[in-house]
Amino acid sequence: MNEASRCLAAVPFLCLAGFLANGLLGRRLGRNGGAAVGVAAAIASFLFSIPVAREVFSTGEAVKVDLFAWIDVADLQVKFAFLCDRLSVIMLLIVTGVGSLIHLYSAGYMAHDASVPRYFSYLNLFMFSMLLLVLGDNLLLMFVGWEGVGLCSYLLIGFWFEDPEKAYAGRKAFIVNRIGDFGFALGLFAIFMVFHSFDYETIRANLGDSNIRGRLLSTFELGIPFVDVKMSLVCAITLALFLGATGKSAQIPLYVWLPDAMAGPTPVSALIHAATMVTSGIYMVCRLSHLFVMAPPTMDIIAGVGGATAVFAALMALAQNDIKKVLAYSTVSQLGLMFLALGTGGFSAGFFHVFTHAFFKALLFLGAGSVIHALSGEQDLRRMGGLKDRLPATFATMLIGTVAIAGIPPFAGFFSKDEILWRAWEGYLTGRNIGHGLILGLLGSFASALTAFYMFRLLTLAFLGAPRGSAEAHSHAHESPWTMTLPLTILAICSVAAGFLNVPHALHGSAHFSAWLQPVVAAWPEIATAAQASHHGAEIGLMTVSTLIAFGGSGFALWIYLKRPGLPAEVIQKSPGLGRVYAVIRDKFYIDEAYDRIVVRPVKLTAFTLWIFVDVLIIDTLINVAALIAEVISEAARRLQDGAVGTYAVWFLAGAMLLLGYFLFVLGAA
Amino acid sequence: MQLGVVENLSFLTPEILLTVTLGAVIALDIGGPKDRKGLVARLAATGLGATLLMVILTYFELETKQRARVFLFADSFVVDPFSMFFKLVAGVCSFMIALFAAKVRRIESQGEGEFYTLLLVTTLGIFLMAGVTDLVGMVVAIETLSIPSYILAGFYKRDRGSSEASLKYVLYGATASGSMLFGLAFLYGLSGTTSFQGISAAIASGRADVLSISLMLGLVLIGLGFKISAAPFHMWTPDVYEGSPTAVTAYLSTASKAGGFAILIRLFYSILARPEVASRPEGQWIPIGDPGWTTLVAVIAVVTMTIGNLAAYKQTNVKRLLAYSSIAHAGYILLGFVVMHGSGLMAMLFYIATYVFMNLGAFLCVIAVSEAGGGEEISDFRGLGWRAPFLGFCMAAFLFSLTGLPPLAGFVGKVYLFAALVEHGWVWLSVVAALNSAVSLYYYVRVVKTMYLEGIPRRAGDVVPLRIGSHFGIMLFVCLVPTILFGIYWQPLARLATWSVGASAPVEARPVAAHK
Amino acid sequence: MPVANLEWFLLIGAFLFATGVFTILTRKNAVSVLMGVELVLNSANINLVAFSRFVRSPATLGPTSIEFPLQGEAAHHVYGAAWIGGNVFAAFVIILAAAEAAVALAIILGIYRNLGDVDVDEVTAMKG
Repeated sequence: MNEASRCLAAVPFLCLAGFLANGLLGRRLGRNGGAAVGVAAAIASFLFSIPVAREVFSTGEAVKVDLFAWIDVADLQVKFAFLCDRLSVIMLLIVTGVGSLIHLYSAGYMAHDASVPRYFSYLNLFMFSMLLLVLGDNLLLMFVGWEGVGLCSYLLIGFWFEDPEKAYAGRKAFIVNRIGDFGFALGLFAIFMVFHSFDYETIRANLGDSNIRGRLLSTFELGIPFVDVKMSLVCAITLALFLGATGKSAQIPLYVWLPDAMAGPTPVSALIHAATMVTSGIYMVCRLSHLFVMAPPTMDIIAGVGGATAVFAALMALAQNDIKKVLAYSTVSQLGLMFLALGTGGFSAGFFHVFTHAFFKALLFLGAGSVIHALSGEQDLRRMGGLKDRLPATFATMLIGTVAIAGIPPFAGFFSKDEILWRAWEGYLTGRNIGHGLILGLLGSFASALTAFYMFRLLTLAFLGAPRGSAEAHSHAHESPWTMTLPLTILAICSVAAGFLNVPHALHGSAHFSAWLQPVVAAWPEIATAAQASHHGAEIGLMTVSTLIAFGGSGFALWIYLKRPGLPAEVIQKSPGLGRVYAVIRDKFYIDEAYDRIVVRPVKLTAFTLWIFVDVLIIDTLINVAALIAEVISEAARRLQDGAVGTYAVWFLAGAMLLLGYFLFVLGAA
Repeated sequence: MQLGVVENLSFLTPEILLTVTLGAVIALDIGGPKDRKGLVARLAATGLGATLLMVILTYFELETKQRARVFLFADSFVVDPFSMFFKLVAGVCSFMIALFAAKVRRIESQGEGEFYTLLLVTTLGIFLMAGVTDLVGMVVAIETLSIPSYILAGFYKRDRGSSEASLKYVLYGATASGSMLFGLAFLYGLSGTTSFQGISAAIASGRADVLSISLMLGLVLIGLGFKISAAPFHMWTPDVYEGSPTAVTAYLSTASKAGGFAILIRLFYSILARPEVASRPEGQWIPIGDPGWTTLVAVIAVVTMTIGNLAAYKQTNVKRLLAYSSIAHAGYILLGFVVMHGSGLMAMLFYIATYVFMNLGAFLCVIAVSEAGGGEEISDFRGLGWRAPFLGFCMAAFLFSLTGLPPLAGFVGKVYLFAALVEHGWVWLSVVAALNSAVSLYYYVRVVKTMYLEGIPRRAGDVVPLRIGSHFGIMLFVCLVPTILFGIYWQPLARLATWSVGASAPVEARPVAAHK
Repeated sequence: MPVANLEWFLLIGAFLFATGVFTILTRKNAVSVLMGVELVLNSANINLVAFSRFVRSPATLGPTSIEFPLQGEAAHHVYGAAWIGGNVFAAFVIILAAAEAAVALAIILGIYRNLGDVDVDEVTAMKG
């Protein structure tokens, strides 16, 4: 075991140690001690991941470490081992790097909270689970991490559990994620049935096996009455896994929990619900990309769901007034764009957006947190405004983040989004698959235009113009302490610089990032990859259009909200049609209500009916009878045990007689 | 394996160290300074810790020297991985008990010198029980455990409950060992020898009649059934466990039981069974003569666990509830006994090792609560989850582990037991056992419910914290770690148990040596 | 004069055992119960000594030449008293019985001090 693997082994366990220290000794450590331990654990894990990253980047080979044989039962053999390859090293750096910054930020943000050690113990536990998820060398370990991050997310959303609404948000996240996890677990079992292994390496190696290929591609009837639908096994597996991804990465139809998850402390939203956990669905699809590309229908579904989510969530972000809700819908939308890329085979494009998004979205959330902190908990954009001079550092960094996410060159978001849009439009521009490409391309571009608009709306409403809140609150607003502005600054720098890692060939760049990931993700469809090289002209054209769209969206937002702040209301007043559309968007398309009508209420009604008929009438009766019997026997046993030595002696003798009688008569007769 | 006497004795280091500690404790208690508060406790704990270390070292020595077993004292005592496993378990129990008894005020005021002397003697008794292969040695070992236990049960001299416990214990125990001795005398008479392997050889050569031997083993089963509190010889258990000092109860329900199981396995498996392939004790075993006794033990197991679980149903005292629970667990552990396969024995060992931690932990919680001023009734545990969060969490973990819920050690132990049963055709038995665990959920959860869902503080300020002190906190943590760890990563323990069963037949006999 | 053979001793042992069990079952006084226990233990002792007298050790003879049932006094003289396992066993049992009795009596004394009574059927504070 060399130095890099030793470091790799240490990384997750440092966070675990932090969790244990804070969880067990929290009361002793106190506020400052708890925060110090939590931050130190995160930073230490980042420092330990540097040698690992250096090793991976210099050799291009994966760093592995086998810790122990975890499960060894007959057919099922699972190692507890970590694998840091070209894909996971990026996640490792995001999780530990951004994670450390957010830990540091939290130390300032949560300084006044009553239960700092509990907060940091959850946060460290989250880091540990997330690292298991990305570093595990098999799907089972990933699943453990997957459930672990879900648990931590639930605990942190409901961190202020005294507030019933926040506790409800926590439960909602938990239940929605259970649905996704069910799909994920189903996919895992199916994979084990086919491959007899959970190892990524074994799975990938065995994909070439003709036997296994045949099994994967074999089709089966879905068994839906009257409809003759056939599906290949691999299609079913990947769809089940994708269901898991929609849960964790907040895609249609399971996105509903993420906006509510903003009930948690803001740094948590930044770390878990923007930068890391929600991208684990994308990580999982990239990890198993070779399996996914065997099922083109699944890929189309992923692209479609991603594109639809991107536009849908962006529309909802337009009409939100809660600063965190805007960012939450923006996250859902950006995740949609990532899935759009994955679905069109742009695994490295999607993953690159994960990378850049981690920086600017964490930055935006932390900036929003800084604003909320300064305004003592105010989250409504309508009561902000004019904070530019009060919070100069926050404003400057937020501006960078906004420009980056809007896709304005040369900030990070431009490069990552450009790659995605090219993937989406590719079918149309190369004439390979015109209809498909046109739909996905339009969805992608429309979503980017909306992104630029709602982000500049947020920035303008919060920082520019005249203050709309109470004068008192405004005058109390003060810049946050260094523990909060330092992470903002670092993230802002990254948001500017990260894009240059993947300057496309069309701009005479070298597309480092794509080249880096190329050995570990699938190249699909092969024509598309080749096409990119020969369509530089089209790509540059697309870039220009995208840039114009980004500027247009941003400028439009600035113009409306600075010069004509009354315009939206006027338009809505004048045209009742548009007003109705606005209302629909503002109320989030009534999706929550629809879920309530379509899913929650029928389930409750069915549950009630079942409860009355099955539970109360049948099962309860059975259970009551069983309980009665148990009680009678229990009572009899208790009576027997009357405490008198004489009784015990009688039973002793009776037992002895029975024992000896058994031997004499039963065995003697035989 | 013929070795020099001195070299052989090196395998007895744990027992020797234990005896030396015992002498030192007595000497210190009699001749030590008057003002020696806690000194005896520290000495005893140190001695037990060192003994534990020696047990581990001897364990390693057996492994590194590839030595399956070492016979001592004219073949009446054996040092093999099987016995070392039980010594390890019992040593851990005694060590833990010694550590946490040190902070029990009442033991201190009653004379800790006596307490630790008796504790060390019982530990020595269990160590002997683990390794003995001779009827005489067996009786001596069992009584070395029993007699001090009677005194320990009545250690609170002025306490009515404690005296009652010790009276019931001694009368029941003496009767049981009398019956056992009667059976042992006949075993000797029927086979003409007192060594386990000799009796087995006598059956094999047809000198002794299997039926008569079985009948007398039935009498022996009474004595051992008493020790492990198997039905119908369990009736002393709830009363004694409730009345004894809780530290003693914890000891009786873990270490003492483990010793009983050790000798039960060795006695029955070496006399009434042999491995199918002589060199593979981890495989199938064949009963000698009629296999009917396995059915008998199966019935005993079922009755034991059912009575234990059902009687626990309506208990209101936590100690008494845990007493019934420990009866039920004796039933679960006996399941591995009937399988007649190495996997069953391995499951027993695994279960005993995990059971020891969770049960010890649960009793430790009871001690910690009553030392902090709480009581032993379930109602005294109201709102404990809020008043003492760590203790509440630990207690919940121990109880859930006793129920057998994943991801805790008790779950893995049950899986091994049930898997061994199903694999060898005892499906009905595993179904009954699974039903029993389902029943047990009810009364375990009742305690957890009382701790968390009753007496919930309305506001944060309403919580009246129950301070248990760092000493108990650390000890709880020590029990908690294996309870959780073996539920997630149980491979090392499973390997240890497998090796302990498989390295040498615990049991299988060496041919009878000719006496010179 | 009839030769005393093994069966006679075993019968005495069994009789003692039964008496002991009967005493344990019927007596309410803890000391009497203890006496019953002593009878049971001593019945085992009688058996042990008797077996030691009459049973030849397979070890002294080697595994092949033994037949069952046991043989009488004459055989014992022929093979000598090399095998005294039963006697040793009995000696141990006597010691253990003494220890047990001492402890039990002390415990009964404690009960008497705390409850003022040694009737075992009255000591029922714990039950159920």
